[in-house]
Amino acid sequence: MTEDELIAFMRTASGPAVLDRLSAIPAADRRAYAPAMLALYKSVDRAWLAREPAGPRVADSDAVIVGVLATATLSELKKLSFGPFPGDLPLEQVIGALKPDWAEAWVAWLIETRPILTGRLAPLWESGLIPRPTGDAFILGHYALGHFGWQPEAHPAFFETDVWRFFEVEGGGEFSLAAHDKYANAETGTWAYQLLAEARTGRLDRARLLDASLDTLERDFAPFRAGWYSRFHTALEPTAEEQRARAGRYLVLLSSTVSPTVSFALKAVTHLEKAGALAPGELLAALDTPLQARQKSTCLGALKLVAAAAKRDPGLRAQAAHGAARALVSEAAEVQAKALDLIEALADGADTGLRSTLAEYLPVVAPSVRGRLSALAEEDAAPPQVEAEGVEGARPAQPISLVETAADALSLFLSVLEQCRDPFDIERAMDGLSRHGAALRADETALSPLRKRAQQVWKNPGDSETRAVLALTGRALAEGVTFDALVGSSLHDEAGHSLGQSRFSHVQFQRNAEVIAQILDGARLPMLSAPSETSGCVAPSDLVARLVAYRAAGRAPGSTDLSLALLRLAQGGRAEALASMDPLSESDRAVAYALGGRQTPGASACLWAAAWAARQPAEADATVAALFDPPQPDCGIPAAMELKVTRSESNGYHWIFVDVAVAPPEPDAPAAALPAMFYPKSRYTQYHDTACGWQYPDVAWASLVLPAWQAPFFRQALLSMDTMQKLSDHYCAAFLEPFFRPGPAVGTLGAATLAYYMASEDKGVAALAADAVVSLAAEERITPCDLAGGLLPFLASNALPTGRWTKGFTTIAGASSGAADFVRATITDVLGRLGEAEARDMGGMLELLYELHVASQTAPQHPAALGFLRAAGQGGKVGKFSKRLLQLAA
Amino acid sequence: MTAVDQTFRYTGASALRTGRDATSLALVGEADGTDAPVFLRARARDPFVTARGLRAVTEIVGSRFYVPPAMVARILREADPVVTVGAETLRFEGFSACCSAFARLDLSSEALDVDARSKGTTNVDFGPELRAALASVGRDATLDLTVGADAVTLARDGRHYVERKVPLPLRWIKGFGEVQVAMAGMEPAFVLRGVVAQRFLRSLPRSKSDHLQWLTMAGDSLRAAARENRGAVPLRGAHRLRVLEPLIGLADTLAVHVNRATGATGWIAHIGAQRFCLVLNQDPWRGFSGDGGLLSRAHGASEAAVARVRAQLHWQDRIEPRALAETTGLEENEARDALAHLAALGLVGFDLSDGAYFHRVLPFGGKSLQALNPRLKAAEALVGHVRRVEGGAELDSDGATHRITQTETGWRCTCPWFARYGGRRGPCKHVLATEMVMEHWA
Repeated sequence: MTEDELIAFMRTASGPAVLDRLSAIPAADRRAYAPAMLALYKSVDRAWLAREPAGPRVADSDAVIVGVLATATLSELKKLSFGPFPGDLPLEQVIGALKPDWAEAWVAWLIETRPILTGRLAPLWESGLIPRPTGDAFILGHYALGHFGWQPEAHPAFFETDVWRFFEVEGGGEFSLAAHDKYANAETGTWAYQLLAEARTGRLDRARLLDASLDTLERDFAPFRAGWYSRFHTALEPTAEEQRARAGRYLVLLSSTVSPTVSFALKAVTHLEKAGALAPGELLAALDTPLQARQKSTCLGALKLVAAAAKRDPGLRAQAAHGAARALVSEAAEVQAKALDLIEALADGADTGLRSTLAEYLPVVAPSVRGRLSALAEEDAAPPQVEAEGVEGARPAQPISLVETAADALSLFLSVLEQCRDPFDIERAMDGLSRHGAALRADETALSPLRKRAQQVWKNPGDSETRAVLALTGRALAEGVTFDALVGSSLHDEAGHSLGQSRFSHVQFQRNAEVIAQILDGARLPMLSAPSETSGCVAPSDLVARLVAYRAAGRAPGSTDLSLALLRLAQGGRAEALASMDPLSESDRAVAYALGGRQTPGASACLWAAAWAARQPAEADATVAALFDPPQPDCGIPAAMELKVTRSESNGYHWIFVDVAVAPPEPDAPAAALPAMFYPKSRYTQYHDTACGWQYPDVAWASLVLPAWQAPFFRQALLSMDTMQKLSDHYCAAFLEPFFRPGPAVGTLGAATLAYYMASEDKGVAALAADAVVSLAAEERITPCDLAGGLLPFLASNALPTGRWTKGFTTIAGASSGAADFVRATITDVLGRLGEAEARDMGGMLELLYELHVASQTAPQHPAALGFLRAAGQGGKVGKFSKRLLQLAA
Repeated sequence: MTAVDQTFRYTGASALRTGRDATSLALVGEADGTDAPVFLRARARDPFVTARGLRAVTEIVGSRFYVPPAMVARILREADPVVTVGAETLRFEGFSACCSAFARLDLSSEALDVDARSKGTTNVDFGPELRAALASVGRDATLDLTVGADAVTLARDGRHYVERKVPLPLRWIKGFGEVQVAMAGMEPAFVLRGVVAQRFLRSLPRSKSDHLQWLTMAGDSLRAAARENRGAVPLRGAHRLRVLEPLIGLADTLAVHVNRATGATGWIAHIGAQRFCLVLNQDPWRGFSGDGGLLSRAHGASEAAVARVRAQLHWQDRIEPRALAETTGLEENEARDALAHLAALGLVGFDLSDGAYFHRVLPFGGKSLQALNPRLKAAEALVGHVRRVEGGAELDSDGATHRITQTETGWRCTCPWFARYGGRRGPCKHVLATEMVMEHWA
């Protein structure tokens, strides 16, 4: 039969007919048809996947699959996408007829790569065509199947070997007993249910199951997967006698590194202790790990066992006291207090070793138990004065050094092209190009690395629009062409990303285009918007001097560059700078207006809006506002902003909704004026889209747009945050950057941003917000009253767990004594303003407040806060710590 | 070539056996036919700590703290721990499969009652069953320790070999050498008392965390901040420190060291006469192999200097460059470069606590790690293209002319590698090539 004849036959014949025909040909001879078979299979497969009606037609797809299985080698089969498995023909019939020499290896490979196929392949070994698989992946296949998959009576190997390997093979991802049972029908569909049922029938040895599950728990499986085995062991309901026989093993498991296993073992050991089945000495020796557990309940349970052991054998009292001391490492003051109760009851005052051990714990125990511990240890109880290294007071802004040479400018620009997270580096690099770019243009060789790299980055800049703009800037400089020549007036990179006209990355695009055009004209001038100091501001005297340089060179400033420079204008030195000016052009007059001079706005609305925004404090100016129709926020009219935090609910779920309303409201068609860009009317608000972008470098650069008046930026910060989002490099962290620079007081929206970000589920963002509070408090740029005011709308909304702020405040308080005082005052302020109905879940915060008061040896005195404490209920943690705080006050 | 097939060949499986009087830990070393049948026969003086320390070393060996997306289902145990029996110290070393974490348990002479000792290095078979069994070694146990090819067969009749072939990635082998240089470049940062260290470790997130933290002292405690402060120690992938948790409750102190150039950190738990040292690269997803700390030094060492230093190793537990320089007549820098070269060859390790190297021979077939380094090979290929210009050199590479200039802080290059990393991950291939040519010009 020729190849063409075979193909023609296969297009019309059924699977069984093809199988009959091909199985009659010796395997070595069939091999010659492999290329044609594989080509046909792939074309049929492609057509099916693409739903191509005009694809190759075959009467029975099984015919093609049989053709491939009859002719291909194992390596060829491995390259095929899925399978190939016949649809109607039983696989064992096909393999049995063809008898390929790769059958066993093929099955092993399939199970290794896709354990889920185990059930489909089972007929091959059930019919004796290949040996039964034995590897770990085969066991994972069982996990995936979720059931025996066939009549157990026919498969003694399952009960003899496979099921016991369940206790050795951990699995991972979706293939584990824990993963399967989590989503299976708990009544009948879980592996645990099925194994328990077989144990009840006696098919599986119950004692062996008990031992095997304990074996597994000694293997350090991951907690999630280990949990299945402890639950299974518990579900076997071991009798007292069975537990007694395994007492030593439970004691060993108390030292497990897996917390749920320790809790499991502790329960079993507690039963055994109550039954008097444990030697007190052995029990005490085994309790080391649970006494130091993170879980409060485990520690408390272990302390009870310590007490019980000492009671059974009074000769062990000293050893028990030493053991109880271990629990002092717990973070919970309640556990520390219980441990001290026990130590006080057991300790021998002459035990110098115990005193020395207890003294070790003095730095870590809660202030409320430090006095008791100090008395037992006979050490000074004075709390340590905690001052974190690196937490500094107010830092004045420092001048930013200029790039001095062309080589330095090139080096810095190449560097920001790779790492563009620091906006100051970007601005220094751009200023360096602005000053030295013309010199670089004269040295083609020096520019060759930039040309090559900028082209590479431009092809694939990643998600950061800032990097795309920098790549374009590098290309334009190295290739000696303008932005217009490269991309026109709007930016689309080669990967197809476009820069939104309403985002600040577009401002960067326009500003850099102006700088490059200037360089290509041979100018060697400073960039007007380059920050003069580490606050991000441009010193007025610097701006005036730069304008003088432009005038001397006979060049008009770029409009975007000048607008940005105006928004960055520093507060100090304005009068002197204004006095030194001789405003001739519209640009000069706008600068003079920004510096506080009286000028009549010209025709360049965007420029005058920037000049108006630079004037502080902001006062409405009808002449500037009149340049915009409809009116734009912060374009001649100060934007009034109001934070609204609500709790939204649907189908039992709830989430937080944050909005910052603006007046005048954002128009549907916003002006291109820079100040107005902070108020985009986005239909994507629910997706947290903002003008600042959603990559760290983009937001970080946007943070430098308005450095002296950050409220509009913090509005964007509040709208951007999704507290549930956890990322390895969360872009919202960049919204906190301004807090770490020299700057003004944080203001209302800044405080709200800090409070909101402290509650982020992203640990990096939450920790950064806490750090920001520490810095700002040390610099006195935020008061407890400010932070309390920022926090209140969120607490009152009850949309997020209060525990997140408790955790944040605990972190802040640990930074320094001053930070602890700040937290104490903040919580007190919150209590004074929080209505009783709004205060939920405040127990943890009250406990922290109590500990802070004890540590500082102060008492709550704020009348409104005391009113809150008196009104608090008597029960629960809130009642308990309200009472304690009131006792302090009394 | 991205991996080397390493065959671990043992005479049997290591085992922990509980006898009437004592528990015996028999660690089977590789059978190469030349080593002594038993390297060490000793009794551990604090078996509870030794057992926990060994478990911690094997936990590092079996860990992959970063899993590339294409490797989700392929978590492999790459290699066995390496044991070095020195004149005074017994050391167990392990390197994580992701190449970002290194662990070593050092047992000083006070930690063991030694019956027999024969200096040398070997892999030891250490499977999950043995690791599980070690959990049963309690505080009151008596633990006899035997290390050697015949550790188990001594107690058994007959001999059968157990072979396991593992493809060891080149980056893993290179990292094992590179981590020694990272340690040599570390400086002490903090020393925490045991309880304080324990509290700090408990404060770290339980789950995988890739956020960069900066550690500073706050009173007696260690505080993790999200931003860098003066003198702060960087820490990313703090979940890797969890390996210390079972040990830290027993530790007297935890000493923290940092390599300011690379951001790698060293964590040494001092537990009586035993020390557990954990070294972490700054980023969990980046192996030590890419740090390039060896490159300048390793190529800078002359063959003669290397030979003279190598002749002085003698399985010493403490090899200090200054003393070595006096012994060999080399300059101290030459001795350091030669030791770095030997570290790249796997012939010396670095003891962070002592601040000195020690002699050991990594049992990975004696491959020249230096020869496997792609950056060094690329630099060698560029040597012929280096042109001397004022203030440095320039060379044509991949369609661009790179300028290498000397600045106050060292070499500067115009390539993307330098732009991205500066000098933090060793010199780029262009700087390396220039250094090679400069030596010739000099």
